[in-house]
Amino acid sequence: MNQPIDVANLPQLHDSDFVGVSPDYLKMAAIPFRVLQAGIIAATVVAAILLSPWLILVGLVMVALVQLVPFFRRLAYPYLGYLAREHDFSVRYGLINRTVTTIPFKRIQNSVVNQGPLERRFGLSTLRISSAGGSLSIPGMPFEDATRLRAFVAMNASLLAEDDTDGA
Amino acid sequence: MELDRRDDLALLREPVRQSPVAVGEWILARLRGIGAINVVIALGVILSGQVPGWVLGIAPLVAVLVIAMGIASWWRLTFRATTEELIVTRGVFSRETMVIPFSKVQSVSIEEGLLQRLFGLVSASIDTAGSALVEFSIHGIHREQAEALRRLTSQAHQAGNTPAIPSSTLSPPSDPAIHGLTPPTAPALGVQQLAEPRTAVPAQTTVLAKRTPKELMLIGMLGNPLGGLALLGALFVFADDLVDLIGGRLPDINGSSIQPSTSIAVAGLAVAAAVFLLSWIAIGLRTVVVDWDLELSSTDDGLRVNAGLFKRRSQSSRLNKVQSIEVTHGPLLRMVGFCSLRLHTIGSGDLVVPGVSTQELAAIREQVALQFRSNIDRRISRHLVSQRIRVALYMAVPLALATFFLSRRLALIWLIWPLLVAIKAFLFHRSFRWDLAEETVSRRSGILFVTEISMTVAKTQKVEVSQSFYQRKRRLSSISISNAETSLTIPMLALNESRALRDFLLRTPQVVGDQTSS
Repeated sequence: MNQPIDVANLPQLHDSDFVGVSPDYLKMAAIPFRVLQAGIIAATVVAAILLSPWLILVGLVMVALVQLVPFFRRLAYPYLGYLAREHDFSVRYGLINRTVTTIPFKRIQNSVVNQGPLERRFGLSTLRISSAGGSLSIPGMPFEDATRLRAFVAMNASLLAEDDTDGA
Repeated sequence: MELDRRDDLALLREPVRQSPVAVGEWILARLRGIGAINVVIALGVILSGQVPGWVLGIAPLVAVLVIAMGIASWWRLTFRATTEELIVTRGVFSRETMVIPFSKVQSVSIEEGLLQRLFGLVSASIDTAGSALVEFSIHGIHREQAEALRRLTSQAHQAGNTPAIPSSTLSPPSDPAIHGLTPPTAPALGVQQLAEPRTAVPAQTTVLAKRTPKELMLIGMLGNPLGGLALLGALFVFADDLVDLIGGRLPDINGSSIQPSTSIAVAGLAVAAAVFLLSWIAIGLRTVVVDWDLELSSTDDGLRVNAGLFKRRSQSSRLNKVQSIEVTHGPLLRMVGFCSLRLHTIGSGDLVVPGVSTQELAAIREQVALQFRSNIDRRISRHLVSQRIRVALYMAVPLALATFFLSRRLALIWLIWPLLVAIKAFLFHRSFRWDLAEETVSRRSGILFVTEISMTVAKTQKVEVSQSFYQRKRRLSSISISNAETSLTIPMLALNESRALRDFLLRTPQVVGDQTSS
């Protein structure tokens, strides 16, 4: 039997249900770039004193270019979010190309909470979920939320997991 | 079933060493790695006497070293099986023990190389689907042992299923520990007693597809007409060296007094045509040899492909490991009513049949439980064409303007490019179809070569819906569906259609699959 189905009556993944990540994420993600900019400014000042004042212009352009990445990240921030439902997990991201990625719980093989040194200072972390067919990751989640979510995902994944007969 | 398992375990309980023939196989494999053509050329160079004396001196030394290495690796490799695992010990300088749970082994492929067949031996390739354990092969073992490994693997995956082998025809092995070191006759006797009932075809085998040599020749020539050029390619790289070796001379084209003329052009064309014809025949013959007596069958173990003349391979895959079915209709192959089939399975070892007929395809789809409605007819947005034209124009127009001041003709050429893109995009859009039914999602596309790929909905691993800036403005999107092996992308779908498709793919099936469906 392989009947066509009526898609209008299926449960929907609404954009409005997505939960955003912590606002501290922007501050934290910008820090490496601030450091880079500070370095550029210092180098520019030294070069300007030693060689030519016009180099300040070059330095300013470089600082502006480096600023682009945090700038775009800030623009993309409102769209960044995740959604945990009964049977699957989704993440939403992107600025120019917007993407929603979803992995069903029963297919999850690994779930990891990762905290780099910078993230630790802000109490944030990255949650990484992977299946045999792909993975997704959410940066900038508060650590406790991430750990709780990871435990929830792992529990559901093992509950809902198919047995090994499908080999995936 | 328990009786079979005990026999299999009894066969492999003690550590088993490969037959000494494996040393020959090892050396052959090294030579094959260097490349047959290169070996022939090396021999030719040596025989032609252009090699300095000291090189000829160390050559036998190198050969002795290689043979010693081969013997050492052979001596050190042993394997045995327990109820749950396969344990392989190997390594000359550093001893390595690999413990592989049978449940992690995706499939065991059995291959008979020409050398091994002389001694009645086979190679077993263990595929563990990309975990930390690498796929590897054990050469020069008895077919009985390889089949035992295959059965143990299959049983580890099949929790409660009993294969239909009548136990009355089995007799207990006379010598449970079969070592490859004992002279060939002794284990052969013990093995034969087991082999008769066992290697008889298991109770339910249906042949789904079978190819005759004539069909294979046609499939090789029509399915991949240009493939032969690659085969002959190696020959061309060394063409002048080979001609030198046989004492001939090629005309010197550079700096000579040969004038370009029509007769040279005609001769050139004739040579090209001859080469093409030769390569065509070569690829046809290659298909005949590599896929000799190709048979795709459905057994208790799943699907199995047996093929090959010099190197007979037997690949099997359980039905529920099939992730997706990919069918390619080539323009030439279609004329003889065949299409090319690939069953993507977890791990390496996709089951590939270079030519199946339409009826065979229908039977195969039924076996894999991927029912397929042949009238897939949902289409994607026409904006695909305008988007691709736009992208081409964004690049072509500035380039045309830039070169306009150099040469008008050149600028015109830049403008032909968007035109070609438009035609190609239009034809692609016209060919693109997709469909969603209760259990499968499929997509068919292609201008010359039409490819159909269908996936079981239940095996979805990840779904991605994305919108580029262009798509956002028009409420369009792309959806990409991945399972463990492949992914299927439908571009330029209306946003609500992709969302609906995603929601459908993610819903929990009401009827949880039985063993064969997920």
